[in-house]
This record gives sequence, structure tokens and C-alpha cells, in this order.
Amino acid sequence: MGPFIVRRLIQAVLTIFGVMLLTFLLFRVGAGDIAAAHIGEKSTEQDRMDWLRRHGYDLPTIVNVHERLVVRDKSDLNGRPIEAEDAGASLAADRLALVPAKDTTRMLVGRYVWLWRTARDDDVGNLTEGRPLTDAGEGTLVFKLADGTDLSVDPTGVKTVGELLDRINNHPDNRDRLEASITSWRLGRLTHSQFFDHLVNSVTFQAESLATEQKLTTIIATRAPRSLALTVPALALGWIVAMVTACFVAYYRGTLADRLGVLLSVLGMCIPFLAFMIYGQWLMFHIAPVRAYGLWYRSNIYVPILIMVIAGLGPSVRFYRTVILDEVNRDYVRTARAKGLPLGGILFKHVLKNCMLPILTQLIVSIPFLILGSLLVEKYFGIPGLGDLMLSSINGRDEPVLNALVFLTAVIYTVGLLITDISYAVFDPRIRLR
Amino acid sequence: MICLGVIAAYVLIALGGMVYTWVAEMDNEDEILPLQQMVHYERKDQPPRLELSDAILGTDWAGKSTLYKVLLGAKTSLTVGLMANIIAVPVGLALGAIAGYYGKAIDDGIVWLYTTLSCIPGIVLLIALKYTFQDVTVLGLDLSGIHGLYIALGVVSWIGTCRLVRAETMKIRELDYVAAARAIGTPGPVILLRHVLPNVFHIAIIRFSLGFVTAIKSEVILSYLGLGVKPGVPSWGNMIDSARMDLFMGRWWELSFAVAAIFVLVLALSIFGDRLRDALDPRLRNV
Repeated sequence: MGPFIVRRLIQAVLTIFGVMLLTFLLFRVGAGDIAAAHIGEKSTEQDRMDWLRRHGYDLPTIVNVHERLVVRDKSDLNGRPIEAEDAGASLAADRLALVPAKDTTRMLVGRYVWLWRTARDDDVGNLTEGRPLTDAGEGTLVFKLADGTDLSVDPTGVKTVGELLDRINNHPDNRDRLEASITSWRLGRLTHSQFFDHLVNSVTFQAESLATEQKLTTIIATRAPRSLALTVPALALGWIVAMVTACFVAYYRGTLADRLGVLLSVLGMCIPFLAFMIYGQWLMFHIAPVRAYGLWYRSNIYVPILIMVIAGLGPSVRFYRTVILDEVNRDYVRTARAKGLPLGGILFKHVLKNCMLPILTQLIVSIPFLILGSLLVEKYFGIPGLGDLMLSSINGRDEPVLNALVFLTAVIYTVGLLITDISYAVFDPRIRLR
Repeated sequence: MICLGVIAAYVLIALGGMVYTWVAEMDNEDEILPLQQMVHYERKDQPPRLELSDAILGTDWAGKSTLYKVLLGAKTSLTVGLMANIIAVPVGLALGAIAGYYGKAIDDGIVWLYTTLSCIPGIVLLIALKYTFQDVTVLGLDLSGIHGLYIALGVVSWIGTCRLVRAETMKIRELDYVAAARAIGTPGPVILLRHVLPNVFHIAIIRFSLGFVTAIKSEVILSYLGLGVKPGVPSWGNMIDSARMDLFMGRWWELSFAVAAIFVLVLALSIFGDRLRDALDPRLRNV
């Protein structure tokens, strides 16, 4: 018993880690330019960098060696904050993405060096995501220093990182006022990276929506009840109706009623879910137009619930019927019948008890949909729950929200399966042998 | 038998659609138009009537024939079903056989992979994958359209095949003839190909036929959400998406014929798949 639970726990933890890895690959690495979707394609590199830094997207992907260009102003302690600007055709300030450091106005920082360290002889593209400092034409990179003077550095022809540093540090007007350097690497904060932030954010739900800057916990707390109001009754009602129907057709197996039931459930399975919703809403529209969309009235939820129950009936009835019939053909049922017990009594007393295992497993598997609601139903009927949120955050490229929702469903599903597996092992010793 | 006939009819229609699209692309004199250009505003929103010779099933908001749209949609649905399974089934078969036969760390790795994928609900994973594919182009294939759909469906649906094949392989591995083959020094890959694969192949066939249904249904849902095939491509999902408000204006035909086309195909495919499963391996009844 003990080793089984431990092994199962380790498996669950690894699975949840796998989900985090998957969501990271899908929503962070693979998702392309999220910043452009939020602040516009035409924004300057510095605005973009500012946005990236605010949301932690400027960090390196996996590990952070803390190497980046730092320009430190030593001219005056109480002057204006240091700034970098482009004059003429220079694109250096923009491409180096020089922005003020977090805790001081005396310092400008560039972007983190991607993936690994950079040396003086390395290409300057290491600091600019591979692009040159200027495209064509004359121009200068202007630093506005604290003592009121400007320092103009000519970035044309700079090939390596070292050259750039020398141009700034050995500038004739510099006189030790401005110091450019690459921060030396720090082993201690390797985990200061997007991936580790992602892990922490996933577990704690501390991230904020990119679109509304609301806390995720607040969003989920306001929206989850609406999803649950839709899915809990739908699941419960659907289960009861399907179970009763399945018992009924299993009891009358081989008769006309059974055949009709199976035929209807197969036909029901083949109607696309969308059709159920569209025709259902249309019907409701003719009965009471204001009840067909949205949640202005609390009772508007009945129609979507009914549609979910009806649409889900086909597959469940067929599945439960198969499970029950598998059990009915066993020896103990034959013995009981041979003793003269009525089939109805056997069915409800013994058979149903024994086929609860696959049926319960199937119920657990549908738990994630409790939280997310039914995406399609929520979208179609205008119920502002979590499923609706998920679809709108896809269109809005709201990565933290998307990530949190996928992670939440995965965790609840994994934990649900874990609990069922362990309770099976406790109640049914045969399971442990697997 | 009827099911097979229906499926064959759909396949013929799909092939016809392919030939038509191809001819329309080749045709420079604009005598045969692709669907996108069949616009006749003078006869828009016509209900089904016999007089509309090439639009017996009515027309849409741009005067395109619903009949043509339904027929050309068959091509999209069937290619999606076929391609998704061509990706998913071999992957599931190979990984399942390898995991089941070699066991230990390889098995653990593969099981971890599919448990991770399967604990995200299928539709959510599909949406997430298509979201990631939005502006991605790999090897000249634009993944934001139908090619991304093939891959996303493939990624989601190999899991079921892998699970079944793995379980079956674990049983076969312990059988005498495999033990004998191992005893005379046959290398693992040869045993896998010669002794294991033929005995699990029926699972692949069953999954292939049943996977079609899932793929076709998913295409409809994703197209409705704007994540499936590109708008303008004739597909039943796009038809439902563009016509979903029509019902309220009394224009029932485009939506209903698309739904009917899906219904008949899915019905034929599921009955065929069930029969195939019962014939090849009755034990898999709960799959």
C-alpha cells in the first residue's frame, strides 16, 4: 500500500511539472511576439523593452547569467536622470534597448544576453538581438548626463562588444564621467529567468492579466462560480438521466426499447455539438427572446444546462449500457438468476455496485470541464465564466491567464485521478497488483 | 454495407472537389471559378428551390451556392480526418510498441509524455496548440491554417492509440514465441517489427477509423472558434460559423445542410468503425 501511494504521488508531481513545461513551451517560447500584440507593432524598442521588463519577459528563457550592458553615470549625484537617445540615423539606443535601471537614476541597462555569456570579442549583435547598431547614414548615440552636458558617441562601424565599450569609455569628452561595462556573471541567481518565474507563477497564481492587470486569483474567484453554476447541475443531471436510461435499456436488453435506446444514442452522438447549441438557442429565442443569451436573468442558465445534458446523453448511455451488460453476463448473476432472484433486484443490488468503478472513473475524467465550463456553451450563450475567459484571452494574447487556466484544469484533473486511484487501491485490493 | 456506400460517396465527392479546385486554379479563362469567386449578389439569400439549377439548396449572403459549399466542404473534412490520423496513428503505434516492449526508463518516459498531454482536456490542448501556431511557418507550411490543424489534431490523438498498443505489447512480450525469438538472439527491433507489430496492427486500423470521427468533429469546433481552417476555405465548420446567426433571420438552409452533411458522414463512419472493431477485436468494446 505505502509504496504504491508514494509511486503514484511521484508520478503526479512529475505530470504536473510536465504540464508546466508544456504550457511554458506553448505560451511563452512558441507564442511569438506578445509585446507587439499589447503595445502595438510600431512602438519603439525602448517602449517595448519597458513593457517586457514590467512583465518579466525580458529575462532569459531558462537560466540567467546576469550579463548585460550597463552604462553608469558618475558625473553628478543630484542632477537629472541619465538618458540615452538617438540623434540622426543612429538606431543604437533603440536597438540596445537602454532603459533606466530599477533602483537608481544613475544607470541605464540593456537587455540580458540571451542564453549564455558574452565576451569582449563577441559580435555586438549579442546585445541587440542580432541587429547592427546603425543601418545607414550618419548619427550619434547621445547620453544625457546628470551634470547637464551631453556625450555623443558615434556607433557606426562598431563590430564587437569590446569596441562599443571602448567607444564610450575612451571618448575624448568622457573624462571618467560615464562608464560602460558588461555586468560580470553571477552564479547565485541563475534561476532569475522566465522559466523559473513561470513555475512560481503557475503554482501561486500570483501573475496578473496582461490586458486588465487584474490579479488572477480575483479573476478566477469572480468567474468560476458562473462556470460551476452551469457545469455542476449539467454533470449531475446528465449523470442521473444517463444512468437511469442505461439501467432501463440494460434491463430490457434485446427488446425493441433497448434497440430504440441504442439507436437514439448513436444518432445523438453524431449530431455536432454546435448544432445542439444553435438550434436550442433558436428554439428558446422563439419561446422567450430575452432568455436566449447572456446572464441578465439567473434562470437563463437552464437552457444551456439542458442542452449540455441532452448532448452528453448519447455517449454516456452507450458507455454505461456496455459496462452494465458486461457485468450482467458474469457467473454470479447467472447463479443468482438460477436461484430464482428477479433480474431487477440483481441489477440494482449487485450489478450496479460492481460496475461503479469504470463509471466513477469516467466521472472523474470529466471534472476539468467543471472548472473550465464548457468553452463552447459559455461562448455561445454569453455566460462570462472561465471558458469564455479562456477564449477571449486567446484572442487577446493574454498569456498569464491562458497559462493559469490550463494549469488549473490539469492540476485538478491529476489530483482527481490520484485520489480515485488511491481510494481504489484502498477499497479494492486487486487494483494494487497492476 | 450502406455505411461503406455512404463513405465511398463522400470520398468520391471529396476527390471531385479536389479535381474541381485544381481545375479552377489551372483555368486561366475564368470559365470555371473557384468557390471564393462564385459571387452573385443578384441572387443572395435564396431559399432552396428547384428553379435555381446549380443552387438547389439555396444561396448564402454573397449568392454562393450552398450545394457547392457542402460538396467542397467534404474535401476539407476528409483531408483533415485523413492527415490527422496519418500523423497520430503511426506515432501512437511506434511509441506504444517501444514503450511496451522495452519497459523500464523508456516506458516511464513515454508514459510521462502521454499522461502530461492527456491531463489537459483535448479541446483545450487543441486550442492551445492552434494559438501557438498562429504566426508560425515551418518548412514553408503556414501552420495558422489547415496544416497546423493536422498537426494539432495529430498531437492530441496519438495518445489513445499509444495506450492501447502499449498494453497489448506488454502482454505479447510475455508470450512464448517472443521469448523463443529472444532466446535465439533476435535483436529487439526485429522482434518488434516481425512479431509484435503484426499482432497490434488491428488496434491501429480500429483507431484510424474511429479517429476520423474525432478529427472531423474537432475541425468543425475549431473552425467555429476561428482557429481551424482559414476563413474562405470551404469547410462545414466555416459554414456553420458564418451562418450561425442566419437562423434568427429565417435562413435555415446553409446551417442545416452543413449539419446534415456532418451528421451523415459521422454516422456512417462511427457505425463502420464500430463494426470494424467488433470484427477485429471485440475486447476493445469500451474504447
